[in-house]
This record gives sequence, structure tokens and C-alpha cells, in this order.
Amino acid sequence: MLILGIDTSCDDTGAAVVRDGHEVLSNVIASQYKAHDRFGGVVPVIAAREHTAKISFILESALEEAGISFTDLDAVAVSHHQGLLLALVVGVSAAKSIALACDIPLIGIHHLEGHIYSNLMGRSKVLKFPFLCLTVAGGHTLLLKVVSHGTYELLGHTRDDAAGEVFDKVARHLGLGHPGGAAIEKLAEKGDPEAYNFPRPLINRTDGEFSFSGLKTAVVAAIDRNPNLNKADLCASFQQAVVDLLVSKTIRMAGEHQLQQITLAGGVALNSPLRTALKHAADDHGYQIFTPCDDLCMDNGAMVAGAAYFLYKERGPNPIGIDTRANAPLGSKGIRYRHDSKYR
Amino acid sequence: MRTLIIDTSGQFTTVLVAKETNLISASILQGRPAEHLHEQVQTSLSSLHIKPSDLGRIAVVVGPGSWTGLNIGVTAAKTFAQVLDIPLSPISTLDALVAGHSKPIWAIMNAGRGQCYYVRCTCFTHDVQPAMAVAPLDTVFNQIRTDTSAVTVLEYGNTFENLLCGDHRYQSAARLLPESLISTMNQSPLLEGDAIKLLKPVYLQPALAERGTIS
Ligand SMILES: [Fe+2]
Repeated sequence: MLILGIDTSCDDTGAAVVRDGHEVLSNVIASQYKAHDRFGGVVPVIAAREHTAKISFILESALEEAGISFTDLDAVAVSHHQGLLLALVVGVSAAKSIALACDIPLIGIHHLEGHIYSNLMGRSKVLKFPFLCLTVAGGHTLLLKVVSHGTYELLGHTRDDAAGEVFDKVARHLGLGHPGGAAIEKLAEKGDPEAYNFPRPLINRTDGEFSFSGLKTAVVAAIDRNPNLNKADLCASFQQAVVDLLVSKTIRMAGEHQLQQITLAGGVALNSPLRTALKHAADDHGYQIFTPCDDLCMDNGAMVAGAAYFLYKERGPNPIGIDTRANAPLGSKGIRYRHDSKYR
Repeated sequence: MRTLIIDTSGQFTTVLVAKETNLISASILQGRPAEHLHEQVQTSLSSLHIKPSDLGRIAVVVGPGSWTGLNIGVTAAKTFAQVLDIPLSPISTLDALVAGHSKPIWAIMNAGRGQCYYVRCTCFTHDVQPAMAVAPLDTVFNQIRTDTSAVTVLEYGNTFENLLCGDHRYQSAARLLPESLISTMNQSPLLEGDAIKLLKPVYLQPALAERGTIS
């Protein structure tokens, strides 16, 4: 089954072709970083404009790289829930046109399900339900128990900033380039992770809740106090604090819920100190760690096509009128991982 | 040849099917920008018992108008044309708006934040219209009031009714009319290939964040 997956949930325009949920035939991502950089963050209307300008070329490239044409597609999948509303609607509009014009099923995917399923792609024989999933990205930090296809339980989430957001903010405050996470990781290699003793909020609480705003404030204050500080030491100490928080909560929740397999997803899953620390901690407890291949960590269309393959079997196609929502409950249990006021 | 015509520039989403220059189906819905666009397309085609592959051309209003509506409408139209491999005709909101009205005419649209898009057209229908500009309401309305040679003041939308009350030349258009869209479409260029993929909505202003930062 050949599925075209589209993701325009934030500032990357992504389209990909995936065969049977496992084999990635193409995965095209156009970054809009340059269009947003001077504003210090993603501007939704600009994201929408950039998606509209580029979408046709991204679709064309995804098909060309996969060596297929529109008529070869068996279904089209798109992130329609979770992200910037103005940006999501562009991908959804393209996907609906393709579904109608090609007369193929339309499959709406919750963007977070894309991240979760990035781990199952090519791995469905070794990764078994239920497993733990830590999703860490610019927009979310949450721990889920993946019970079965499309069914999740929330074990913890961030009360304030997402971990990826904090990486970006610190990088910007230090005047580092893009992507912020990679720049911090690189500088941190030469730094002392114990040079600064940054706070690790909620680390001693026994639940899976995260908080990063106190850490962010402390790091920004340290930079402001001493403009000539050793950036490598600061990055190493900051990164260590984030890694400690993520690893300790993840291992604790795996133990509490007796989950032997742990998966990591989202852009921050690219951070190698996080991968290493999680692997060490998991080894100590006899847990298995899975991380998606690099191209599936950042926002992309392939994870959407991958998720769609598995979820289509469970849920079937969506009507052409599927809605688009910035925040939507996740999975068959309707998990709410944001403040209630966000779900309108 | 059948043409699918899409207008998502305003508070109404219009989906028309024309056979040559005759209107054979119209679906017009009021609501959030382009919210049910694809359902309208699906219903229109199935009520005519035709498939998307029976279409020979797509036409789309490229703006100016609702930011989100145009992004959805232009993306939908470009993708239809790309997948079906048929030409695409871009329609200017302004051309369709002033079609059939007496000139000289002021065409105005609410730009929000106390501003107004405006243009004064003197030429006849289907000539290329000058681009719209943006200015504070007072500035535009003063110009309109002192312009005694203009015979029509036409707003796309109806937000200025109270502000311009007393001006007998004022008219409001809630939506672009099917006959105007069809006649304007037939004067529009036929885009093919990469020109379709390159098509963007006509945005009259930079995004709010960009104002002041662009030198
Ligand atoms: Fe994401």
C-alpha cells in the first residue's frame, strides 16, 4: 500500500511516500527557518504563506523521488490535528484535493501520532504493545503508554514550556545558529556539565509531570549576569539538566507501569547525550530503547504516512470534510495533554 | 469543457461548475473561510454525475481577500490542477468585483486595524485593474468623498455601511457573483506546468510581524 503523507503543522513543509508503513520511498522536507528567524520564533501567518507557496513543489519532489505518480497512490494521509491552525489547513487542503482527484481514501492523522509511529516504522516485529513513548519536540514534551494501535494513556506531560522550545530559546539567547538544539549539543561537547548547578524542577516528584520554565529562567539569567561566560560550560550544564529530567521521569514511569520497551520521538530525540543517557539508564534496568532514524525525528511527512498505514486498518478512511484543529484530544481515549481551555 | 471555479476570498465560499460559459452548478456557503470547500466540490460534481477527471480546467480567485481562505482555496485549486494535469486560471478578486459596475468606481475592502484596501478604477470591465493600496480609513474615505466624478463606491463585504452612510454611491457586495466570476475567468490567462505550482495568493500586505522590519 503506497501512502503519501503530508505535514504542514508548523514551519516545515513535509511530504513523503511510504510503502506498507515501513519502507520510506521519499521524505522531502522544506525548512522555513530563514523566513521566521528574524522574528525570534515561528510566525503562523508566514508559515501558512510559505506552505502555500511551496506545497506543489514538495508534492512533486516526493513523488519523483519515490519514482511514482499520483495515480499509483493508494491513500493520502495528512496531519490535521495538533499544530498551528493556519499552517495545518494548507496541507489538509492539498490532501483533500488529492483524495478527491485520485479517488483514494483520505486519512487524517493527529500530528503526535506521527511522532509516536515513527518508532514503529520498520520495527513492528520487535516493538510490541504496550510500550512507553517519550515525545520531546519544540511543541510538546509528554510521556505516553502506547496500549495498542490508536490507543494511548497519558503518563505525564509538561506543565509549561516544551523541552525543544527551551533548547531553542537558550540557543537564541546565546546567539547560536539554527537548529538551536544541534548548536547547543555541539558546544556542550567541550563544556563541563557540572559547571553550573541548574535547577531540575519536579525531578523528585513521583509522577510523570515535567516543568521546564524554571530551568529556562535560570539559564537565561545566568547568561544575562555574565555576558563573557564560558558558553560551552553553560550549554553542557543546561543540556545535562534537561537530560536528567527526561531520563529520570521516563525510567520511573517505565518501572511504575511495567513497560520494558521505551521509545523516543520528536526533534529532541536527535540529541545524542539524551540517547546515550537513556540507553545507559535503560540498560541498568533491563529495558530496551528505540529511537527513530534521524530523518523521522523532525516534523516530516513519512511519519504521517507510516502512522496512517497502521491506523487506517483500525479506523478506516476519513470523510472529505475532516476538521482541522490546533489542539485535539489524542487517540481512542481522547487524551488531553494541554490545559482544558485549549480544547474548544 | 467543464471548469471548476473556486472562490474562497470572502465570507462566502463559492464553488461553481461551468460548461463553456454556462453555469451548470453553484454551491455557495457562508461561514469560516473555505471550511467546507472540498465537501462543496464533492457534492457539486456528484450532483452533476461527473468525476474530477471530467474537468478540463480549474479557476480560482487568487485575491485579495481572506488570508486563510485564499491559502486554502489556492492550495486546493493548484493541487487539483497538478493531479488532474489540467490548466488553471487565476481570477483577481478586484476584476470580478468591479465587473458589470459603472465606472469610475472605488473598490474598497476592510483591511482591519482601522485600515482599508482601496483602488479607483476608471477602465471598463476586463481591462487590467490597477493594484489595490492600503491606507487608514479616514484618508481613504476623505478621498472618496471629495471625488465627485466617481459614480460607484463598492465594498467587498459590508463593514463600512455605517461609516459611508449618506453616500448614495455606496454599494456592498457580500460575495463575488457567479456571472462575474465566469466572465472574468474567460479573460484570465491559462496557467500550465510550473506556472501552476508557482501560483500564490495575492497578499496585499506583509504579515503584521513583517511590517516595520522590512526595509
Ligand atoms: Fe512535531
